[in-house]
Amino acid sequence: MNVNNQPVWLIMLCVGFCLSAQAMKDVSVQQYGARGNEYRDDTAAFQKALDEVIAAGGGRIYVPPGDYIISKRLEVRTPSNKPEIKLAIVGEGTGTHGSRLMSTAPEGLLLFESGRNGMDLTVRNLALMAGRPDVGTALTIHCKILGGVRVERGVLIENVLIDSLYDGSYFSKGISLVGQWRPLLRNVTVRGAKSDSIADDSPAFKMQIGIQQDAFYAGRFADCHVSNCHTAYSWIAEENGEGFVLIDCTADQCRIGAVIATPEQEPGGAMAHCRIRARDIGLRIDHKRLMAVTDNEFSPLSPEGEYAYYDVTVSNSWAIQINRNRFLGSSASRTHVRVDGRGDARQYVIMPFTRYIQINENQMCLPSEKAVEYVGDDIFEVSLGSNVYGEEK
Amino acid sequence: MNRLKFLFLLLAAVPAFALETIRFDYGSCGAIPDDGQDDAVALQKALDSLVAQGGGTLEVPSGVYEMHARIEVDGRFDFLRIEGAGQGLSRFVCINDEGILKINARSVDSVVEIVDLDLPPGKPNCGTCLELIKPFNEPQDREYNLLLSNLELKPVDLNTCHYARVFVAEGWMPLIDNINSSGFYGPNFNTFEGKRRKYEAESIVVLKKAYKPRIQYSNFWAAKYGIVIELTDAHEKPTIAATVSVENANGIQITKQGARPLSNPVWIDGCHWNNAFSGLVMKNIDSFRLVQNCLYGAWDIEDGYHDMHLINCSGGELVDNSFWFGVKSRSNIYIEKNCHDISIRNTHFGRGISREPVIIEDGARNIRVADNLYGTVFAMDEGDTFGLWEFEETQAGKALDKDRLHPGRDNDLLLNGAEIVGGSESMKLGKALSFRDLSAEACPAKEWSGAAGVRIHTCLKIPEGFGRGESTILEVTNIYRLYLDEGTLCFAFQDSRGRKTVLRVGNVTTRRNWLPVLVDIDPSLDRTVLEVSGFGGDRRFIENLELNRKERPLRLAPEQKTRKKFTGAIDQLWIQNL
Repeated sequence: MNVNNQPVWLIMLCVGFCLSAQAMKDVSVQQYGARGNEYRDDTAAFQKALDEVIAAGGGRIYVPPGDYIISKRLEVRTPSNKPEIKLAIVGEGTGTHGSRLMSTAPEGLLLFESGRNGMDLTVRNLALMAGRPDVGTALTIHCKILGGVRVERGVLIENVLIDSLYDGSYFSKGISLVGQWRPLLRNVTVRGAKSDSIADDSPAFKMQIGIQQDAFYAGRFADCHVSNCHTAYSWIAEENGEGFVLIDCTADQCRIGAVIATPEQEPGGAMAHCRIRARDIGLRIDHKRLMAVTDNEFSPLSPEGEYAYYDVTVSNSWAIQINRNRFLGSSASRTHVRVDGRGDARQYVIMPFTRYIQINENQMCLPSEKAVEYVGDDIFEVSLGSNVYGEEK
Repeated sequence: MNRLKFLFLLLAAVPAFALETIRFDYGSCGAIPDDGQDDAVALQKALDSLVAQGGGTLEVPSGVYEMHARIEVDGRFDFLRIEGAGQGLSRFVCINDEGILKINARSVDSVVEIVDLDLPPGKPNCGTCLELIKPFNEPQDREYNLLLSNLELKPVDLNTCHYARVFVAEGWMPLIDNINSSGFYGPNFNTFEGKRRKYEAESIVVLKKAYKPRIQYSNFWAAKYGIVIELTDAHEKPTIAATVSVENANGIQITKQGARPLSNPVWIDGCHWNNAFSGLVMKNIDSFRLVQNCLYGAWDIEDGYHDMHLINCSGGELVDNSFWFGVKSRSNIYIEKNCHDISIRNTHFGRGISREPVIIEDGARNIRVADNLYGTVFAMDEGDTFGLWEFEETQAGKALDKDRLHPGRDNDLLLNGAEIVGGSESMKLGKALSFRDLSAEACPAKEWSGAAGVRIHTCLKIPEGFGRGESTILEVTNIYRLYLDEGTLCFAFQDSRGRKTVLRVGNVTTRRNWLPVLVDIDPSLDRTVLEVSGFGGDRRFIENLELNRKERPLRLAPEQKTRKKFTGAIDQLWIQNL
């Protein structure tokens, strides 16, 4: 179609028709009255932008630099007859001159709920800041329980900062994901309340989870940084959970670095090139088949073994490779790998034991007889090869 | 030079990235989204006008734009960027036989970026989605000169729409990031006819004359070829990271042309592939690292499928990879005769996959296979099966169905010098698996001459209510002995200092048919282990552990005057000297 040959009025008519029909739209929150000047509440403007874009079938919402006060959780819930979310929320960055949403809403900041595992949701270049203690989950993206597998990227979250605005303010969780196909999170930083204390009641551990995913399929977290929380990364699936990757990520100032637990030893998973510094457990693996833990660095938070610390615990799991990691820091009150046969698994669907654990080429600070602890009888084949061990003190 | 002229020159020298940005809308380009009409003419004009100015950025607002013809850009430009509003939002739907865009960049220094767009096929056989050509060069000062990022190619209809080829790029230093692309897949294509249609699409990513290509966080499904990379003989660091190539007929093919050695290894890290005809095939690669990849067997693999197939490759490591299930058994790593200097270690060869996980052709040199873990060593009992293999009744009870297993199971014991003596008539004595591994180089098995330690894998079948007294299952006289004592499985050994140790696991006689058993006397760890799967283990540390090194015959279930004969079955026996 050559537009230049058409009468202008026909074109305009056509445009008008198309706009009145379902057509996606790109907007700026400023069009809806958001100021981002830190004094005025911008909740209504944001919610209106979300509602209108979703009603139009999707589009991009641009958030210019500014500090936006959000006093009530922003919510998108799609109807069951049109479950897809097609949306991009894009700011200009996460720094003090970036696009920052300041939350005082006790139930959280952003919520997306969809009946479809494959949504088209992009969140990029935004800071989500907690303005009070325990203000819910910064970013919640929940789909119905996972069904099937697809080559679709359900969610893309890039260059997002989730942080506390004041000392003592924090989100109760950073990001909570349920049921997406292939979510990709990269360069996401999550921090809870600031505190150097590592005692049980430390404000640093009040944020429950940094990034959480349940009912997952083939997710990737890359270049993510989580600190000041109880558990930095959690992949505890109540339903299906298969094939996740945690790569080039860090966890610090937390009690547990990462947890991976699936109900039926679903296969596939990797943690590679990560740096984990935790107080109690670096990585807990429960009910998992086929997972590689390679090229990571683990160290305990407590400098002199004040708290008992496990770098990796494995229970009721099958085919776990713990290779070429570096276990640094104090060797006091520490076990590098705890292998538990059944663990406290609730159900034994396929295999009620732990089997084929490979521990090779790690740099350990404990002597070989203390590096691995065995719990229970249901363990078969823990293979250790070419590790470098520390000396007995 | 007068001032005005100087200013003019200065303006002309403005860097490429300050080029114009235009919006792909009605006002600027005549594009109207969502109208069910062609937008190819508008796109052609928009890109032509940018290229005429030496390049620039085209911003594509949210909406569906139909491409009834392929857009062709041919010319010299510095920088061309097409930027959508995001995944699922800005959609160029291909409704023609040729594809969406062909770029013939005439300048070696051209940079192309295509980001945050959907490029779905809207009909069968849409040609080549993006065909991008540039004269080859080796830029030293940038991360890429072709960026394809955050592109979604989910077909409009999964059962009918597809590209013949998705990306074909020649001459670039490409960064291919977060691309999701599929041809036909799903239950409709798991039938025989469906499978042939599944591979109707020719290829997903083809990189010709690629310099330092990098592919990351991408998912490629259902085509004849998933990833094809042709490297030049230039300094390279080709990387594929955290990427998935599954349900393609052929997963990943990387070929180097030319004689100059690679300055940096081909690096494939954290990827996952399972395919039908071939997995990864690398040819003429003289430096590589394949790290922590996870390979399943596709449900429909063809004969001759290998997860990794190396042809004329050298100087490489295969580290931390894991191989997992599939319906058919397959050998995982195939190394052709002209390969050399390759280390395969820290691998998990999963259970139920292969009777011969690593095949090394005669002529390959210095292939080190060590520190791997073999789930396949074990027979599978009923309670523990993945449902892949069946069992048949034999005289001794249930035994593995030999015909359904790879014949590798019947290879000769790799215990030169060991004496195999007759056991009970009712004992079904299978032979050991042929691992050319034995933590040695690719050479025939070593002579049995005693060792400081030993690792034994086997499967035992112990009849219910096995009688009183001791019965020997396996022994090397006066060095070690595996035996049953009143329903307790024992492993006794004598070390070089004359100390005797007995490891015990009790009550092993009733619960299952085949019992995987592991013995590990490891001097490097001072660790001793006797484990019976499902029954527990006896693990002890003994200082300065070393077996009594003597050349002795190995005897299986020997006749003995003082002890009862073992009348169970021993199968899948594998002994490794440490």
